[in-house]
Amino acid sequence: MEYDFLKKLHVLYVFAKTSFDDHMGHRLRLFFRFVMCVFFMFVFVEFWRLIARENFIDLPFPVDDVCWYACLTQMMLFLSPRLFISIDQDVRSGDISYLLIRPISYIAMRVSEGIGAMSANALLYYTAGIACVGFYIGSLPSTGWVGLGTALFFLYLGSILHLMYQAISGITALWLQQAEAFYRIYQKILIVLGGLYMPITLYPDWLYTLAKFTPVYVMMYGPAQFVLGWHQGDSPLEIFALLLFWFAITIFLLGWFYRTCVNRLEVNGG
Amino acid sequence: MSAITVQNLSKNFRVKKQVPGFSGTVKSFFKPDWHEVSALEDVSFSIGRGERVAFIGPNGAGKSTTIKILSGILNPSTGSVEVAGLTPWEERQKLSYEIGTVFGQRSQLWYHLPARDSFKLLSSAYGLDKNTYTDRLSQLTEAFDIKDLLDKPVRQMSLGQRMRCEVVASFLHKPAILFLDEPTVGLDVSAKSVIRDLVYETSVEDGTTILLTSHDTGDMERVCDRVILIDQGQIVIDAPVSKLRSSYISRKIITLHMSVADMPFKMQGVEIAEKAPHKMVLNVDTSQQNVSAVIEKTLSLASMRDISIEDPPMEDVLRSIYKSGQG
Amino acid sequence: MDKGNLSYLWALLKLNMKAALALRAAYTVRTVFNIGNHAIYLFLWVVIFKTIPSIGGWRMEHILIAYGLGILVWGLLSFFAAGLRTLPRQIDEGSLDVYLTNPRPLLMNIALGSTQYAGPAEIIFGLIVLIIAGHLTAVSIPLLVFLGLCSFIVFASLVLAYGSLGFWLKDYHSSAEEMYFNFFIMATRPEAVFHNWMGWVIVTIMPIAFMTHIPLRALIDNNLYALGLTLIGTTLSALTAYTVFKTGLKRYESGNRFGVHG
Repeated sequence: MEYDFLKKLHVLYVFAKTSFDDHMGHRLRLFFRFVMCVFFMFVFVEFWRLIARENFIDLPFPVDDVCWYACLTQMMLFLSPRLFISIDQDVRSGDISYLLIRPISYIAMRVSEGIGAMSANALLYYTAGIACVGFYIGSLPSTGWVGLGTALFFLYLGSILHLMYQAISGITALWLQQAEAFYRIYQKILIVLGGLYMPITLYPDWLYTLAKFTPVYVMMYGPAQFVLGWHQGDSPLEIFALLLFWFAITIFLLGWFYRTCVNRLEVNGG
Repeated sequence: MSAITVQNLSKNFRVKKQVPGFSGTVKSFFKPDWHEVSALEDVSFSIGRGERVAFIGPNGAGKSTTIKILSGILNPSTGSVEVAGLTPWEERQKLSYEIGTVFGQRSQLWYHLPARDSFKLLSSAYGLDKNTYTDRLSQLTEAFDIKDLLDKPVRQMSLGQRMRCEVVASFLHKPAILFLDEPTVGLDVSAKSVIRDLVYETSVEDGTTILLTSHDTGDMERVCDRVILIDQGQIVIDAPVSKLRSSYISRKIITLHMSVADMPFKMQGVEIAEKAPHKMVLNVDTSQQNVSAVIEKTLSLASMRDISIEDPPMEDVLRSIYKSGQG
Repeated sequence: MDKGNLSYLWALLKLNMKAALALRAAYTVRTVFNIGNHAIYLFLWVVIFKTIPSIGGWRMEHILIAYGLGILVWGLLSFFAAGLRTLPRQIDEGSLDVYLTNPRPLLMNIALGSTQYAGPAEIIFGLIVLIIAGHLTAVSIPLLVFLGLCSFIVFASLVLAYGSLGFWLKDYHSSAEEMYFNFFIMATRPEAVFHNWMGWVIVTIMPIAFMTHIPLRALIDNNLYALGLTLIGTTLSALTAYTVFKTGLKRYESGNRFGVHG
């Protein structure tokens, strides 16, 4: 039993590894996307500098910290591959019916591949990306390397959770013929409640409270808050516990939703 | 008068070499190893009007590359080509009225709509007037027996049905030349036969020149009069199908599933290629032995659950050609 | 345009409509989702402008027009040229083969060869946002129509140019989609954010300024100079995009997009 589990884990590792290699192999694509991401991060930096310059609001954080925050949240969006599109394509091309009969769970396979590709991205974004941002902002966040490292660590974990929600979006293609509609909604929730544009502590109280009770909290604001100064909000331990909690819920949700939709597929005969 | 003339055609591609292992991945990330691969080397042939030619060879031989150059999709590296008097990659639009294409792997039909809608769109693309279109469609509908399929969304069709509609779509504007790239790939035996017969009959009726690529010897035997065998980018053989058949495809493969575990079998010109409980694969030399005689004999020995007769795979044909020193 | 091409264009549009109707149920759910998705976003800006009254001279009114224009243009593209968005996938799948042997213009076939996205709902939603934003006078309505058209051409050019990178980059479809989305987001950002070298980026390699920022100046400030600039920017974007596409197509035609094939 245990042996079987390990064997399956190994298979998933192989999927992730293959996807990692494949991703690294497409270096032009990797670089191009990276350059775009860096540009969008710089736009964020300028956005916050503008706001600080014109003194519209009293920022409760140093402006450089907010710039770091904004760059990390933007980077998070670029870190994971667009997994829902691969699933959407499998559904539309009908390939999913072949993939379903494999001994390994289709969804586990795709998520592993996503993690592989994400790791390839992380290799570049966490080194060259962080260097670009540091250079452009001109300083480290006030929490220093420790804060930055903590944020990056949790962003990586949060992105795995993000991949799972992408998988859920992908599966909706079985139902809507296209995954994009559902994904866009989810993505907007992530952007708004996750706090892509501003730290969610700046939101009205009720919106902040709402955001705190969603899984997107541990994908974006939760991890990225560690560049905004210590003792702002949660401790790393709290975020870790919250992540585990949402992993459990999400895996359950994904499994249930996947089975429901696959049953539908079998009824329709693909 | 030739429909297609190809002279000294060559085609090279640049490909990246894959290096195994993590260090290989990182290394090739910083310094990829490119090298040139030649897909076609100095190929020349010509095809007369109304001729039906099979372009056969193993996977990666250069068949699809050739057909894509002839239909104007790809540019060659060197060489000259004339199709219906035009240079394909330079006069693509003019050429499109003269040719039809069927790509086994790509569809020209709209997935969610009935085939009829796609046909209508194509008639508008080729500027057919309403009467011509209606006549042509009803003629093809009858020939290809797709009356019941016309109003069925393409996504609900079987692959064989879809392929029939694809071929109709390509014949719609009555092209002088039809290119078929692996038209029977993925089809079952009976669907394959249907497609082959229909392409043959329609091309005879319309006087269409046919160039068909396949790695299935059956496609060539049923549809074509002439065969060009290509391997590793070079023409190995250019001969009438009848010659190829008599010289190299003098074998059939019979697979028997018997109700008894074993049977004593021996016959002149027949070799037992494989033997297992309840199963026997026979290799029949048709120059020495008639296939029906072999079947008759096996039936007299034991009752059968299943019998199938197949052409030898392309690889075997190639092997026997090379063995005879022709290559 | 050639009369045959025009009637083919009409046939393509009709078929697109029909395909959309064939998937009515899924289409309706998607429409609801899409509108919800835009509404969430607009809501965010309302929240932001509650805290911050103006960003670099942009007020809520500017955001509404930029956003309305953005959604409208997104809808127009999804409806009239959805295929441009899927160009990288079409390249990957070799769908261009079929179009290259078709007598009608290649780009027309690529743009309208398949519809997969909503469109009408977004067009309507965009128009509603523009109406809410105000600025509707006898002069501004025709101006808005004209600017909307320019904006559409600029966005379609961006999508075409960046989608054409699929001729060089394999499996680029999903990254491209991400890019289009970000162009849209950037175009709805206040212009003042893009200063110094960024100001140059958004009028050159990523000309989103011609999609919203500059047309907005023409509309709100009645700035003739901005109108002229929009016109020039639109033309140059379209020409550049077409050139990138043509250059990429040569790579496709040379077969180097794929490497060796059988």
